[in-house]
Amino acid sequence: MVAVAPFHLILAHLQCREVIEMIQIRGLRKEFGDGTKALRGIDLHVERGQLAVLLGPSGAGKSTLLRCINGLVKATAGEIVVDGTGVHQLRHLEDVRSKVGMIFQQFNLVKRLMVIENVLCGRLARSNIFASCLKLFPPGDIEQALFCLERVGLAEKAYHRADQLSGGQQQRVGIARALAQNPRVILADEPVASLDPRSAERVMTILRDINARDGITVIVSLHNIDLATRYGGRIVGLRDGAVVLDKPGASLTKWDVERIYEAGYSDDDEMDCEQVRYAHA
Amino acid sequence: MPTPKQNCLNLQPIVPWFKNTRAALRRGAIAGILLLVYVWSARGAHLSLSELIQGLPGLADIVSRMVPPDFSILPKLLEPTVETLQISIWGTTLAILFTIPFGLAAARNISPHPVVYGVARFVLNATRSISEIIFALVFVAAVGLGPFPGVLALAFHSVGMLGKFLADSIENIDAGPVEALVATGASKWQVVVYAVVPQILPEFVTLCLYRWELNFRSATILGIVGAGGIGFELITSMRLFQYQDMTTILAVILVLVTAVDYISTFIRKKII
Ligand SMILES: Nc1ncnc2c1ncn2[C@@H]1O[C@H](COP(=O)(O)OP(=O)(O)OP(=O)(O)O)[C@@H](O)[C@H]1O
Ligand SMILES: [Mg+2]
Repeated sequence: MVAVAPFHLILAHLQCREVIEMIQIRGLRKEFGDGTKALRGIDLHVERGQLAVLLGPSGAGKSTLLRCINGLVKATAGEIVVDGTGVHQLRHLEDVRSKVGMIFQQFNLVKRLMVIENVLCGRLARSNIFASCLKLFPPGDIEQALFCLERVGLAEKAYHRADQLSGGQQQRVGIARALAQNPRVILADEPVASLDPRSAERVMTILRDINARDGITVIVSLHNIDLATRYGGRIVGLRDGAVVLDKPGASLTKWDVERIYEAGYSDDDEMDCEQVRYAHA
Repeated sequence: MPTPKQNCLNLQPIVPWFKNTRAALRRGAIAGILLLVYVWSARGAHLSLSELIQGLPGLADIVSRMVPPDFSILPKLLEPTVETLQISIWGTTLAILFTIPFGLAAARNISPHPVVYGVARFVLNATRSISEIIFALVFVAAVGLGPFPGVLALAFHSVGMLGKFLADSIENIDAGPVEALVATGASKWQVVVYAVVPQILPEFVTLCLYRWELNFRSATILGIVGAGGIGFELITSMRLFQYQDMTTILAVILVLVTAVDYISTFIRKKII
């Protein structure tokens, strides 16, 4: 008898939280087949319209965390809810994925296809399967793809082959592909790590613009403290598979950075650490 | 900087094996085993220099009777030649059609199920290990004499090789674009069409053209077992000891094989 009313209230409470929270992660663990514990219990809530930056040394689990959010990596334990839908529910997986755009360090464009075909790949989940396999799209989709290319400043390259573009341009095509999904969330895994500083700046500006103008929630992992503090509304520090820091980007201190990248963590991270201190100074 | 002049009397092996007893023993053992294998195989294969020498006059006799070629039979060869080409075209095309489902199923990264994968790999290995002549004998028995069993023979044998190479090239594609498309929520077939096919297409087209060259060569001998094409004329003229006709037929085959190689190279360059 006593249990009835609270249950009802909890439900209402949960729904209320889902209105403001785009991504809810509770107790997320990931252990790979070889025994590597990549994530050791992550609790993270990301509000709608937030731009969060993931920082952390190599091997901290940034890529694994981002991949769990769209189900590319299957969580060992824990719960992930994206826009009110559980990622662990297999029948909803493609549904969740279509709402989540992903951007990769290596761009992952299909090199032999035209730029516009790559962007249209973002429409596949919402296309008729037979027509799309014959490379037929409704005019509205093609228009939208061109519009997405315009937003990243590449409309004139639409009919070039993707491998004719520079790295920075390819990454912008990657963003256009994600945009074509009409996503609620964009996950970007080290999107600027292979780019020169100017292209990196441009890509980050586009991501911030998408976040501010379209209200798309953005989570981006970076290796550059300077970019992180300038673009990140919120910074989440990851180390050894756990969240060690979570605060607004503007208030990041040198001490915080050292906490994330603390020396002596592992051999090949020491160099990263030096660079980080330098960049931050 | 001028290179110093080499002293040819003072050459050295990269690894001074003769100073290392264990390495020397291993080399000795390998050489011994190879020698045994060759002697054993020579026995089994009745390798005999004396027989070859005894046979030389007979060979010279045949060759002398092969020249000059009798070109008067050329008009008669037109039809079987065209038929050979037609057999090779349909044999290769059917093989490609069969190959696509088997190749997809036999690629570990996109195969729907490990059991499907295993079955597909087995079928491909089996058809590859049976030569087209054996397939031709079977199909001649099944559907009767003529070019159609030849087409089927080429198709079945080719599937093995085409399917294995298709599956291997799918397994070697860059996984990045595949992952990117999966991440957009695209379905499996869409991922295949947009991320797998573009990556393997140039390689697969090259492979199919190469298979067509091989199939044309095979089609020239299918007639020997009654499966159509110019091979029938060849075996007939041999049986009737018309060696001058035989030379003409061999010349026609040579010209055509060269022509097919040329055409296939031309198409390959146009496509890629
Ligand atoms: N497929 C996998 N199989 C086994 N272990 C893996 C796999 N993917 C990642 N790992 C391990 O999980 C840990 C976290 O890796 P992850 O790629 O998430 O780190 P990261 O923070 O993205 O690092 P980086 O900055 O170098 O990209 C590492 O120890 C890594 O070796
Ligand atoms: Mg990573």
